[in-house]
Amino acid sequence: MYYTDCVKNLSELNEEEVAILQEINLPLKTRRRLEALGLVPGTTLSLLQKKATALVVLFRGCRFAMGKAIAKGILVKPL
Amino acid sequence: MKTIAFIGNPNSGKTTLFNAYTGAHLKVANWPGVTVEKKEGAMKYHNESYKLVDLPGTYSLTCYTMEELVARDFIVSDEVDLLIDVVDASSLERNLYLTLQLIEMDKPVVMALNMMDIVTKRGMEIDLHRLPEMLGIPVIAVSARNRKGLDVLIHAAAHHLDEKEGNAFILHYSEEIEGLLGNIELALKNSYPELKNPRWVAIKHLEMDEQIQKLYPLKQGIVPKGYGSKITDRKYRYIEEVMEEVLVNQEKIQVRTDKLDAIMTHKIWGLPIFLCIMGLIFFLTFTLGDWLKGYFELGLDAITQLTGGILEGLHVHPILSSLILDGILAGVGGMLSFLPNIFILFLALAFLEDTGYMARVAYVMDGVMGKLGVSGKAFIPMLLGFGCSVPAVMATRSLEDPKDRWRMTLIIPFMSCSAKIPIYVLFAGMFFPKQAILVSYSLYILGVLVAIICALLMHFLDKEKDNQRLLLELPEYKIPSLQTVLIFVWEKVKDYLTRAGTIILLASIFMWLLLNLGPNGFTTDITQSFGSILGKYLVFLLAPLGLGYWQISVALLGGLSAKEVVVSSFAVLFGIANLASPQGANELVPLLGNIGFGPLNAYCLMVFALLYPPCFAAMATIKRETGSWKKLGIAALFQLGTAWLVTFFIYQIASRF
Repeated sequence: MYYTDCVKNLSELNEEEVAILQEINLPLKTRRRLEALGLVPGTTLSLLQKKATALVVLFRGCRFAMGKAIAKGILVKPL
Repeated sequence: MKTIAFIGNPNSGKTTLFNAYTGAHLKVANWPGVTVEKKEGAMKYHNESYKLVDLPGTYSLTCYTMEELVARDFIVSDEVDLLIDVVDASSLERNLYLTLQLIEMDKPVVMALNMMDIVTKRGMEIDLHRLPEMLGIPVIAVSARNRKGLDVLIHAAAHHLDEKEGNAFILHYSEEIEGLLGNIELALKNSYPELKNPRWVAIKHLEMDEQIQKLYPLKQGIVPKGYGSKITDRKYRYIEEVMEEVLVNQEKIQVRTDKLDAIMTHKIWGLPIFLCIMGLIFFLTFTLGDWLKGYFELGLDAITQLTGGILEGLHVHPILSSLILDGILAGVGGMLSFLPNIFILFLALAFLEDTGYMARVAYVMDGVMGKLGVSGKAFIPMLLGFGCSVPAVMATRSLEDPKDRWRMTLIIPFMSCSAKIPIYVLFAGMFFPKQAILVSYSLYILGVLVAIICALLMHFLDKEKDNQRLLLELPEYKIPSLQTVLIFVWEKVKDYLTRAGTIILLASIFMWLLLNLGPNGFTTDITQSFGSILGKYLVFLLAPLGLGYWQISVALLGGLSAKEVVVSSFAVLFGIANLASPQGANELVPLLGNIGFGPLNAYCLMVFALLYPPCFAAMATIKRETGSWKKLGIAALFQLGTAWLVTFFIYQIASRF
């Protein structure tokens, strides 16, 4: 799939930035887990907090703590 | 008797609701073959008895985790008649995903819409007429915390049970998927005519579900490729439609939780805040707890004396009375004396869990613990290990990943628990009078180092490791429910008491037999016991560690019943009456010097005592938590091996200088 420059991975967002999910590039098991939580293309995410190894992200009304390795596989388009 | 199962997302208030019906009268066991907890209770409604089962909290019903497999195997089985789907109204959108999967499984479902008060507080409204219409299942608003709506819910459940019709709503997928589902269902009906819910099995086939593929294999070509993502996507699209229709008023920002998190999970402040909270818990558990423990022990002493008096009055044979007093009462009583610590610790942990802070610990500690390849939460049991391995091992249950639980169980006993302190005090004081504190401190550090090295090695050797795999919901902060907290604590205490009555009882009797029976029958002289004979056989194992003295091996054997016993056995074996006094200790040093036992040997003894398998109480806990004797065996051998190797290197290297 072709993306313009504005597509980032989740860990590249700044705190309090909001974005739309484009695609998940992760092993099947992790991807299915994320999808079950509602991370399907088109979902709005907002990054609440960020530190060296992990971040806190809000989507569909719930906050999740997420390791950077997972966040890097989540491609989003900032709003 | 009809069975009702409670299912819902983690943090949906499922357990609180379940507890509201059953109270503390519940049976906790493990699901067959796995270490996932199974809770069962019973209730009566309109002269009808119902069995209630609390299923593990899950977000979905895939075959990827034990919890999800357990839950869905139970749902498709004939054992359950109705499901109560506990839904957190304040995160309805995400919760509905599980609901849609349950509806697809074609079992009667009633939705318990929990935490409506939070929704109202946020100025939102949920259309309680439109929601059941769109899902085809009854929806009852409840408040598990305030015990509201409980009767209506169970009434609806009883009524829904009597209805023979299935769920009225079927979610339709795209034409392509529906076409495939039709083909698969047809194939399934041909091969497995007795199958009750072919549509669900067909959907699982399209999701490439490994368990279903194994259970109901199909000819090649019927399932062309995986449609898992598309199926999930369709469900969430429908959920969005539902949300659009049932949610009146826009969601306000959840100020309270975000404000708290700005401090509690702050990049810089989060860690010190957590350490302060842990420090407070540690203080309460082991300072306040030990203070209570003192009174507890006084009580136990009184009971022992009273029993002794009664036994004497009854002219009970001295052997039997020694077994009861020195064996059973001393062993079981020693275990019971930890009860105040256990109670306070689990009260604090239950409080943290129910406020929603516990999940944040995983985030706050992720950086530190992630390097060891375990979840941030694993820090809690590790720290508790400095107090006592028993509650520490019990606390590993809060870790989601079984791998984390097992690793922590292996390394927790390396921490310097409070029962090891008397050993350090004695030997460091005797052999290193000037640097006693430094020497004791070095043992604390050594324990942590060994634990870290072992964790790193396990992480390094792990073939399926996935770094930074943290993915955990941070629920909203809330005021904890007293009932949930108390039931949680009661379960732990009950668990602990049961163990004192069984494994510890047997272990105490065994240790008593070992130390009081010898070739000449009953003996009060430990040197004449089978224990000392065994000790002499074990000398060859301990000799390379500078500990080749039969008295030491007997003392270490005795230390298995409780670590501080190493000190008292030592006194008995070397015939020193009052070891605690400076005089007693002064007598021992030259005595030990005569048999070649110097400072290095003493240090090695402390190292070995630090690392070798924990006391029976801790081992019984490991058995209980892992649910397997084999795992206990592996853990004990692992700790024995580590103790031997570390002490071996220290002795062999240091004795060259």
